[in-house]
Amino acid sequence: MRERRTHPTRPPPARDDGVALLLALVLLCLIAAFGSALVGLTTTERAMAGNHGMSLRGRYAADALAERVVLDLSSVTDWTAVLAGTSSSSFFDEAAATSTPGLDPLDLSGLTTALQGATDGASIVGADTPVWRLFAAGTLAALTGLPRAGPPVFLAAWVADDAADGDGAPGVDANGIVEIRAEAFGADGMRQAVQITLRRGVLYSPETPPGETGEPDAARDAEGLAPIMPNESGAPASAPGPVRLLTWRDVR
Amino acid sequence: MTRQCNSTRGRQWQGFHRLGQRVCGASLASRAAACVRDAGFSLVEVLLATTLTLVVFGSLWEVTTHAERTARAGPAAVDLSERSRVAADLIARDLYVAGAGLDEGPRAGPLGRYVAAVLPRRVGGVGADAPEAARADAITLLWVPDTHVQSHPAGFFSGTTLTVGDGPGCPATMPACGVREDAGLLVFDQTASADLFRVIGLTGSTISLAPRVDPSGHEFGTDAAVAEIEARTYYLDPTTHVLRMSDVDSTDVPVVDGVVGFGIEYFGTPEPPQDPKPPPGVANCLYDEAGVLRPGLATLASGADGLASLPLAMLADGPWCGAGGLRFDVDLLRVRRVRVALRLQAIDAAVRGVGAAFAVSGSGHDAASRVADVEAVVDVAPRNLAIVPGG
Repeated sequence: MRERRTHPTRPPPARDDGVALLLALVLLCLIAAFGSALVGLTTTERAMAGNHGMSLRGRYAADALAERVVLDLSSVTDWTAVLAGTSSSSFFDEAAATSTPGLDPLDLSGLTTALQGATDGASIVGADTPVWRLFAAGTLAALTGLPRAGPPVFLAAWVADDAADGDGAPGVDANGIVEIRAEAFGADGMRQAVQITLRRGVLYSPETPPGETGEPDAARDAEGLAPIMPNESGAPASAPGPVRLLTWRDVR
Repeated sequence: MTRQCNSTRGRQWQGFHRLGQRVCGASLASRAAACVRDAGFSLVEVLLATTLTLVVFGSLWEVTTHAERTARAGPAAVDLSERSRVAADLIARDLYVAGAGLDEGPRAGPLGRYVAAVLPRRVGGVGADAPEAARADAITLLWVPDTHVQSHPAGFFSGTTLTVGDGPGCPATMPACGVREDAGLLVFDQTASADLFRVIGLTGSTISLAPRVDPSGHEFGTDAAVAEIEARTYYLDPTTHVLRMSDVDSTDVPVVDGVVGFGIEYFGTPEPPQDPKPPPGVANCLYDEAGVLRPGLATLASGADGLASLPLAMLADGPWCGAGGLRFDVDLLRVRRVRVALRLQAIDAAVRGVGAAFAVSGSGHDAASRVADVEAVVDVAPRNLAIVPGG
């Protein structure tokens, strides 16, 4: 009976038995390798594109905050109060630095200290070294009034006296010029900053006849602005009025 | 399958087989074994086996080649995307800051009030274009970085030895307003004259300079400005398809490979520029000695955004401001917006094909594995040009 169980016509197992399984496994491995490589590429590309997008978003957001600060400063009668830290922007929500969903909490005091440290380290102007004061803070959504405008971005702006007024008092504005630094902070460490120099003054056009703005042509400085007339205390005239950007730089 | 035994024994075996296994004995088994050893395959069997093999291996081949092509095209596409992003971002960032001027002193404000901060040509170094040239595949940008070096000449200056005066922001503890060796310096004034130098020596407040562009020969007074400067030229090397960047001096480096198109358009104020206005009794490209604006500068038709297109021909037809290597067409003072169009291709010719999507044809035949050229457009209104008054 045992003889009959072994079919006389069945050939012995050949050496190529199981080759299909092997081929299938090899094929599966190949496909898996290509697939994971493509997934890796796609993930990396998505991350890079996302970071680039966030970076652009941050730059524009910082720019927008700088514009807001310029607007606010144009309505402040005394920039010395801003430099002393007793006057701040109407856009000021310090609490949002630690409570904005989707963003790591920000230590604004620490950021101010770090900015000041960097300025002090690079400064060679002694007593005129700018001292930064936090002037504006809040989320991009609050600034724009668009609560669902993409990923969260926190904004902060600092104001400091320019180093060139030569009064040796970084808390006093002696020449109607201040520096503004606006920064944007986002997810994954995104940080963009712009720095601008702002001057209070009347814009002069070469075609404006002398005397039209109330002072002789010679009274205007070479930059084309009406002079900042000091008041009795020696500080520049305190009056809200036209301001203009002198320079705009992104911080690299 | 039908076993084929063409002998009598085979037929006998088939007969036995039909009778069933029960009749199989030892002698029958040996016969059958002998029959199997002789057995071949029928034509149908061979064809079927061949077809199956072809189908299986064909599928395998298709899968692996497709995967190979995808594996080649994928990284090429990512690389292309990344290169276009790098190039666009680099140019955009420099465009944003182009024209930044002094923060301090009587010449505070954007450079565009005095000189052209955006030039449509290569400036300085090897391969500089003539000042009268304007080309679409090159751009030079100038700006004053965040620096204390913002002052004026202490006396009349024309040549390569400059004594720097004390500007309002100059550090009292450092000579020459803190100028350091190897820095770039721009000297300019209200006559629209400018010279670009590299600091090669420093003795007290006196600086030895090497010109980075052909000197203007202009004599600058104490009302001129001296400031540290950053200068960048971007241009396309059409032979190697490389976008290059120069510091308008001795450094000229490749930035991005595989660039097959680099075109720049300029837009500006429709009204003629009003700055720089020279001191009374002095003429420049805009004003005569009496301080009257020269005639001949047209008011241009503006587009929807209020700016006028400035074709290259308009930027190379005069009137000319200044002299030397930084001489420029007065219409460059109108510039408020710059549009840069980049076209990049995949480096590997095997993933490029033939047709309008490819500036340089490649050898790729399979549509699925081809990576078309990418176009990136950077449209920037440089902040510091926008704050130039007038125009």
